[in-house]
Amino acid sequence: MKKFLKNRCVFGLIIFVLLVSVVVGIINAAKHEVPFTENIVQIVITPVQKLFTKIGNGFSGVWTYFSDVDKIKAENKALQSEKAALETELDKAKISLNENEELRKLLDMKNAYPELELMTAEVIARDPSNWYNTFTIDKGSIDGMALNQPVVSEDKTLVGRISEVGTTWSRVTTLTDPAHSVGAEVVRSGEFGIVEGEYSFSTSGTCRLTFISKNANIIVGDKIVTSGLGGIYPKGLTIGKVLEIRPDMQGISQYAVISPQARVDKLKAVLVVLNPAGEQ
Amino acid sequence: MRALMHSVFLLLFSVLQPTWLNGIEIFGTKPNLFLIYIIVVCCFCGRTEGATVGLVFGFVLDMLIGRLWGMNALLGMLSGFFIAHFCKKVLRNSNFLVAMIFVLVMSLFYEVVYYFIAFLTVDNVHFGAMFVKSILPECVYNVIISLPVYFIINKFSKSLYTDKGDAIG
Repeated sequence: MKKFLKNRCVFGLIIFVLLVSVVVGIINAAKHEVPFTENIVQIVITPVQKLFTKIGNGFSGVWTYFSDVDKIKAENKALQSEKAALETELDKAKISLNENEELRKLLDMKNAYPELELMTAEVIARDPSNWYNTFTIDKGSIDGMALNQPVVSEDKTLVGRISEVGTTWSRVTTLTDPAHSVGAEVVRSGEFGIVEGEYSFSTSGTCRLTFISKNANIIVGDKIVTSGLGGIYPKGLTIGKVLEIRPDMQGISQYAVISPQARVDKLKAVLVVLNPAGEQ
Repeated sequence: MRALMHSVFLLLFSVLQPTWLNGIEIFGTKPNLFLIYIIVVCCFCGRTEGATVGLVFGFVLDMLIGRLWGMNALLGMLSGFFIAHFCKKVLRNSNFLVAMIFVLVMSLFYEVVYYFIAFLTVDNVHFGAMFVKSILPECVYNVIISLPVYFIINKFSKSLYTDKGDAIG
């Protein structure tokens, strides 16, 4: 043991390990913005990642063309009939919206749904580990990206928010990531809750709606949208649908398993909301 | 020459890990090329080189992930040091079976430690489900991918690693 400790290499290594541990603790405690070294490494690597992603997308595009033709035909037929049903629903919604507008005027309330200013960004890389659900886009601070800006898919369904901003890149934390949470509302009943990611759900691409009471009016198939509470996300962005309702471990309340409408793992491009709720 | 080999693999994995590897996910799990390389290389090199490779590869992985900074660097360095030490002092020789066993054992250790550190800072984690759905599949996947990585490194090792001494000495 004495001989082992006397070995300078080992002793130096132990000291270095302790120093690294301390630095890790300090960095994690103090980290509020992207460190300089991380920014530089990402600036250098992201163009190469973008190139590799484009090449990979090309190969997968050729493969899916041949494997998915039948599937696409069936999906097209189903979507055509769904479109017809949605058009009817849209007409009803327009009537409700008009009524809503009138009521808001009567109460002298400002319209809480702002005009969204959007910027397109390409997905160039995904999280390299199996722990998190994030991806990197090719827009950074020089393009107007800022922390906590909402990110939506091309059909305006919620994907996540910007969690790190570099000079030419940004990292998006998605709905299914455990570090992400968003105020949500059940469209049918108006029940409020919070949609958050969880580690054990992350591999199945789902998330959960929590803080709902045991007697809450929520059923399988209910559509979930953003509530607009919290000031980060605009109200009314589609999140997904209820897959399952489960009691929590204590049996006091319940939570719902949500299937996000946006297929986060398949996204190639996203839209960043530059002026989230509350900003003009 | 060894530094060149490590640099080439580091750059290659930095690009492949967040991009093409997502295309070979099985049940939402992909292998960790950085960890596989650290473990396989340490079957051939000395302790100092092993610890250095682990530290640098882990550090770059930390920057790519962007969370729990320093965690992969620390775990990579410790893994590299102890595997190289064990191979040098105890085994004195290694083959692909030894490398695969090391990959399985160290992947388990690495992921379980990383999981518990993540658990300390985040509330919504359940170890049982994550072990079955994520940690175990990744370990098995790492073992499978380690085979071709081992044979590639082994091909270079005959000219790059003439003895089992440390990289400096």
